[in-house]
Amino acid sequence: MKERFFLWIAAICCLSQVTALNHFKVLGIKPDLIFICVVAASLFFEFKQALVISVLAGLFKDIFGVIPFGINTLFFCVWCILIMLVDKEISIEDNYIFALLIFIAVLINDIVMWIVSFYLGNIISLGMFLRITILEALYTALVSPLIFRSAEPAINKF
Amino acid sequence: MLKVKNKLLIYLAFSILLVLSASLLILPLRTISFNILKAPLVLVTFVKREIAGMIFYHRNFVENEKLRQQVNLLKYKINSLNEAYLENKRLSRLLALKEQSPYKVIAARVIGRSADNWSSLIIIDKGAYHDIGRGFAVVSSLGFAGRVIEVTEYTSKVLLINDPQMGVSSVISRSRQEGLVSGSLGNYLIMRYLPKDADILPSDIVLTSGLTSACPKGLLIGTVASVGDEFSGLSRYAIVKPAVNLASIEEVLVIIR
Repeated sequence: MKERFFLWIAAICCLSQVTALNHFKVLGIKPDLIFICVVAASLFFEFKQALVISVLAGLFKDIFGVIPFGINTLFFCVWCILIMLVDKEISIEDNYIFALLIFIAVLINDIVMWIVSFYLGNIISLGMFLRITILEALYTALVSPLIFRSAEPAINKF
Repeated sequence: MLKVKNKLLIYLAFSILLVLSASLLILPLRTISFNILKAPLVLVTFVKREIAGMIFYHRNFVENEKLRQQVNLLKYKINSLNEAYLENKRLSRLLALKEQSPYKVIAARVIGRSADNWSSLIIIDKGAYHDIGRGFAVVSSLGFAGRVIEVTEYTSKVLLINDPQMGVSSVISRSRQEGLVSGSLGNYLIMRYLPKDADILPSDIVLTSGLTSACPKGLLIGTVASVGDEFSGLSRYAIVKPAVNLASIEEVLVIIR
């Protein structure tokens, strides 16, 4: 039940990411709701369930992107494992800790993405990269507590 | 003495009534009279309305409910009609372009966008079933929009012109100066590889040159916003404002070869 409810939230986030979220762009950048879902799944669920959600989210992001298929799926699985490891070490209770975690995760994810894109021949200039990465990390971190805290009580009910 | 006083009062009242009656007939005086009478009239009407409201409370309540429902229904109708009007306007523009266009084109609707911030792409609702193939140029009623990069049976992925992976051979309409337009993931495009002495000015119109395969010649890309020197100092670049509003594009035309 808990998983099914979260899958609904994730599905809404995924669909919003490729449709409605374009109207909420700030300086041409939109927050990564799919990434927030992956992090939230890693914190809410057991390893297997979180991994399944990460794979599904990664596949969705790969379908709606130009980067070679499977990269987001792979990265999301890695993030799922890393977040679970971090969760064992520190307590992610406060909003600002969760936002900080998202900020750092998005930042690292974007840096790795940039390197991979560069290696695959899709060269994005440093200025463009910095603009996208910093704004995306900030915007996603700011939005994350809203989604996380609104989903948390409902999930804990089940 | 009392009788005289009563008589005087009667005359006075009669005179006032006469003046008021006369004033109603003369326009300037009528205005003044209305101004004087306005306050008591408002008060009387207010009291009358309140009393009537109390007496016919239930009838008014039911009527109010009915009217609210009607208002909601009409609001919904207005919204849907407004949406239909805007769609009609956009499609009419596209149809006009379709009629003018010498190419064989297919109209498609945008159903999705890129999930990340690293690329600028749209998903359209037409695919291989509708004879769309990889590399086909995509335009809107205002100009060049992008190129098809992936095709499925009923959908296609279109890389928009403001994606950094996109490169279109272009030409300045006025001076015929050639360059390569690519995206910056923002609201503007960059025209590169312009020689140091390139004849290019702000407000110049940029068109496709036709040198890029699958991209027909003469499609409007945008207008030059500013011109600058490259960091190396060997060449120049121009910032181009795209003709198509890529952020809010909803319908496109795919040029079939």
